[in-house]
Amino acid sequence: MSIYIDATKNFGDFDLNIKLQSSSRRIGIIGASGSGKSMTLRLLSGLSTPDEGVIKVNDVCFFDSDKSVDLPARKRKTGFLFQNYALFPNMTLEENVLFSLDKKNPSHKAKAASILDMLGLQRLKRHKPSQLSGGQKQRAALARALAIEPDILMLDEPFSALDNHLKKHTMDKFSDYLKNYLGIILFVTHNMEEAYRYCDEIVVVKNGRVDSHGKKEHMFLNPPTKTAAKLSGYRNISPVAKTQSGRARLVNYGFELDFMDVLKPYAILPGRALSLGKKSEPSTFSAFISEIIESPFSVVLYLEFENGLVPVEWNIKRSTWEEFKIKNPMETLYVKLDPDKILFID
Amino acid sequence: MDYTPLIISIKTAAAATAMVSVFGIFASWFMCRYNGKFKSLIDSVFLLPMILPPTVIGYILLIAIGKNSLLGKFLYRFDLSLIFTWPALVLAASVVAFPLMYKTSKAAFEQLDPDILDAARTLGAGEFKIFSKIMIPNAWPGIVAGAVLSFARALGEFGATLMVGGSIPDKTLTVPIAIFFASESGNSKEAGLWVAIIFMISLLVMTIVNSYEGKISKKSRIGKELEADEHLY
Repeated sequence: MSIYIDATKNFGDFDLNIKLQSSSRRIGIIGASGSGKSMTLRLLSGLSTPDEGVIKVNDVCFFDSDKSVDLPARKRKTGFLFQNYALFPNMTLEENVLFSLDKKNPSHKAKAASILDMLGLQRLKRHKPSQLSGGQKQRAALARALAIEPDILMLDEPFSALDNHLKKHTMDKFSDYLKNYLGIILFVTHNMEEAYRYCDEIVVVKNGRVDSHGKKEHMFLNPPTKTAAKLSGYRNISPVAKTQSGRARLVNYGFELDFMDVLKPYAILPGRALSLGKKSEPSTFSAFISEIIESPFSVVLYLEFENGLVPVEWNIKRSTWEEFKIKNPMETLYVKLDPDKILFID
Repeated sequence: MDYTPLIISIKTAAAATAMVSVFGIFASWFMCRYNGKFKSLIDSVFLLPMILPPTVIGYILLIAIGKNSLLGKFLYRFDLSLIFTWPALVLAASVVAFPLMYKTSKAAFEQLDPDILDAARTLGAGEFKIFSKIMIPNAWPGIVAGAVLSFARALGEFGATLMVGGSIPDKTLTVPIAIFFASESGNSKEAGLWVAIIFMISLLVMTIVNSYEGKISKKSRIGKELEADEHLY
């Protein structure tokens, strides 16, 4: 199981240059919209052609500009799931699944039936796509893709057109089916929770290039770059400056910290590094709450530190918030920092 | 009154519609896939009969199928000639109707979701399978509208038809030509009757096209509402 891509494609005002090698079976590609993550899938599946480069999947050469190899999309055996499902509107669900098979062949029909059965779509097989809900459509699209027994399954933001309610249900179902799938899964999303749930490795794409790449635990707990940190959902990212006395100053928040092995340009202040402290304790700074945003299960506090330029967002559980017993929103707090939990990144 | 011109007109328009349907659909399929440097030039050539004066088309056709053309010389060997025959009539009607078919079916193809075609490619389908199994069925309403419009246009063709078909009674005398001669000779009763017939047929055609298009947009709207309302999994 391996994919290898080193390809460039010029779009005039946008330049894609993707280099990626992985032997993981579950790869998540995350990035902002327009970063080139979907185009990476299109290049791999043969729906778009790179200007130059090499693409190999499981040691089969899909594309090599030097050797003039360009395997057409129809021969690459890649199952592709689109955001808007892309089911054939003129065919029933069963006909969609049979599209890549031989309708008259009983063993093919049996195969289609077993796929529909596995995905719980058997009773809907005579429905047209317009009669299905979004979640059913995406499951139908998965069934159709599985019919070609794909070596790679490419999911291009498959849940982003679903509303929250359907999304959770559909994601749960997909989770079950994909567990049994033995090929490679490439999952494009801008939602880090989806990526974490379905993938082992995470690739961060930015401006048409691979920004960082690694095991998901590493990428989320210890993001190597600012982009990776932002996409992982970290909120408090500040440039770091070295002070004359050799301390590290978090420019956005106005406080200085001891220590430093190597000075890195950015620091992330995760919520777990903050706790309520007492005046004159070490690493404790005074702040006032400028804004409180309440949700059913959590509360976000905006903490304004002395000399800070930007408030720190502190997401805490509702129960923790109630323990604080803060009556006046503008009250001054003493916030203790755990310097070991601050992340320094490039 | 002799209704032969009406029969000739309808037969000619039907044959021309069949011709332009085949050529128009393939031409628009080709143009959807072709991205070379002559794209805009070829597109203009395909659309040209729509704005050229019919007499210019008639003249060009006379040269193309006349006795001195390659085709004319070839047919002459078998003692055949196209000029002033029913096939020439069909040819002239086809040329003027072609742009309508081409433009309408191309627009219908271009409105298809490109992801659907890409999905078919990843499922192992070749381009012809995509064309016949996906593009044509899903662009069908547009193709039908194009064919109906082509039929109406072919039915009303006058100038080019007159030049290459002549106006031989019972052979190449169509309704529009009959109107012209009737009105020229002061037979206003006959002219008026033909005008009324053509008027009714054209109105019927436009009604069919409109109601067909209305149905399509209504259908897609219902589809969207279903999607929004349905919270079944």
